[in-house]
Amino acid sequence: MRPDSRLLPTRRALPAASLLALLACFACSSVDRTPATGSDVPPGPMTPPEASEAEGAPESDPSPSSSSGLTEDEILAIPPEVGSETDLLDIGAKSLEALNAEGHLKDVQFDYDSADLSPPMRATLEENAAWLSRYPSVRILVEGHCDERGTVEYNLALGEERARAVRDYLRDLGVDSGRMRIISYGKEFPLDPGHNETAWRRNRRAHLEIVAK
Amino acid sequence: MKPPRLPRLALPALGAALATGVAAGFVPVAGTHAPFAGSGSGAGEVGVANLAAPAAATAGQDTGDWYLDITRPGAPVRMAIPDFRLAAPEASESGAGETEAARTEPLSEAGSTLAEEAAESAAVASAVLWSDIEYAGVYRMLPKRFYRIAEAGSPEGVLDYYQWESIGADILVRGTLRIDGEFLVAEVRMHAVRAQENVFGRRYTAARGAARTLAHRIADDILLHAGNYQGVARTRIAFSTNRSGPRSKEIYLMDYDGHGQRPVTANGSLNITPSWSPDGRALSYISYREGAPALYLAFLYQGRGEKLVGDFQSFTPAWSPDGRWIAFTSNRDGQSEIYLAAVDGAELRRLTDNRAIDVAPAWSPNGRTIAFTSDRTGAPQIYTMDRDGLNLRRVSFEGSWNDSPAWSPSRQHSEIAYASRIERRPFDIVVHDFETRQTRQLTTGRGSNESPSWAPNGLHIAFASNRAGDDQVFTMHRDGSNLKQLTREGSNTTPRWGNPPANPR
Repeated sequence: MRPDSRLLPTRRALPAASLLALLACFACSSVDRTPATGSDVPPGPMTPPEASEAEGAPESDPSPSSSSGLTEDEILAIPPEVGSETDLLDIGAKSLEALNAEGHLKDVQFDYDSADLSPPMRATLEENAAWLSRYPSVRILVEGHCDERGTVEYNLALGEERARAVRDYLRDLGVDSGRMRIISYGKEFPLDPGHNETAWRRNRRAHLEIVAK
Repeated sequence: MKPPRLPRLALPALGAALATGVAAGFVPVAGTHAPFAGSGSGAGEVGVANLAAPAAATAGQDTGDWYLDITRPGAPVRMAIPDFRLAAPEASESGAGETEAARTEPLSEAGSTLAEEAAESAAVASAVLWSDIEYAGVYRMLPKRFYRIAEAGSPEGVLDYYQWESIGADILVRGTLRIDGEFLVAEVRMHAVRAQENVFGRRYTAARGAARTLAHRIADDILLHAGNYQGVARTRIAFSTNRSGPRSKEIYLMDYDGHGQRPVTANGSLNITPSWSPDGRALSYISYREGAPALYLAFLYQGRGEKLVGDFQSFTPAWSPDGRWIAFTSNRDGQSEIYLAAVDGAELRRLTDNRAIDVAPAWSPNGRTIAFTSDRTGAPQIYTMDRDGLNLRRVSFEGSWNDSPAWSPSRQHSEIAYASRIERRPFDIVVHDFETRQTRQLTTGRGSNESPSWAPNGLHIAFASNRAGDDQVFTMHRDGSNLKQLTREGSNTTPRWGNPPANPR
């Protein structure tokens, strides 16, 4: 496989947000110089979650688990030859906990009493889909969550609807539905225990948990 | 009269229950209870026998069928309940023909500690009986400080109706308590003061240490026979709590007054939305213990649990009044719909079919209609449908978010409670009356109030509220008065009020 072939997504045109994100992709937290074992990685847009550094995402610092020994400057100095084998994480060497902690897949936020995907959230899911397409062995659990203002019972169904909306969109983006399971936690496990608008916004979410690699 | 049937100590069965309970992730509540009474008395955990009528009382009026009828329009009925007197075994208040005094325990050196235990049991039973009767809210409780006056003029234990009438008592309930072997024995008589009649007399037997259980039983009997009132003293409330761990919720039980909070599940997973079987002996609930939320049944007194519906995701089970069906929500066909499953797992029927959310089914008391929540018009609202899914009707029209319907079990009131939100304000508990088509609000904006559940008599409502910080379980009267907070540890949600446990068949 030629590395630069990965510049061209096969299924659909890259959204503008993703193209912009490509430019920053080498802030990637866990650059691994060892060759990726999976040469059968399908082509797809390479937009790691950290690509949104410019938007102030907090995960942009290099992970201490990086085995490259490169400083951040050195990493940034590497020309963005997207698709080179060194871009791929050796996910086999990482635990699921570590992979999830590194935040490769980003949460999706929802409006109050809504399971609709807003354009920014679709962009986030496109990044998630791109990451998933690069690691086809990864399986995920899509968790639907709600803020505490709704009722327990309805929120269980609403969380389910949110998880389903995310799964369906990822499927439309080419992620095999067999790789995804959905679950609703309603408002039972809030990410943020606060009782204010900030907490509610964080808690109205779908979380993508890597459950197999 | 025969001696009362004594409770059977079913220890082997209890041991088996504990063993299977642990294996299944259940903590059998049977282990925390007094032993069951023998079957046939309808007494649950307390043995009951009628006392013979005192010589002065009219014969035939102390059977279980006699109901006191005090009708003084406009005036509250005043009830006096002196504390239980301690009775030495031989000094028990026994009527003619009773052989009970023969089964005694000699007062020996152990007598003093035994006397202490008896005094403590009497104090507990007195307090519990008082609060149980008071909770019903149908009698004016005569303060105990007046009782000395009524008792002053007469020798210990002797009843002078005129004295009680002079302090304004309409009904007098007096009891004695003693320890007899492994049992607490209480003898209770109820008197219509002005009629000067002993209208009720029963002997109650429970395990030592089960003074609360004993008093609850007595309270329900007193309320039934004094005013044909269905008490709730022996009912329990199931709920979901995070008190055992931050990333888990377990199903717990408690008595209606908040005492005896004890786990039903102990699997460290997420266990939510319990629903009682009508016989009060089992719960259905949702557990994530195997990953996806599945529908489980917990048979409390056998210490047995089983998964009823495990495919896809299941939510919000509701056990039918006839005990044969569980209504619940599942996404097995791609979206949240209401289904029925037979309790034996034999059948699965789908009742709703649309792209909207359908959740939180609740049965009407006759089992023919199911209320539920649907956002088919864009926001969650309450609907009803026949149990075959036909005859859809919308119930709630006010509010931007209505959920958690609970149908009153009352025969007098055809009404449904639910949590209702106006715009984005917190939830309040409201009740919709089907006959008047009026909706009344029971809570008023203190915190968010959710998940109403009716007491079996339809006169009280349990609900969860975060008015004191974390979610806690409260009860109130159906008019919103007499608010009581039952839980304080951790966060406690989705209370479900159950019937007293029926005797095993």
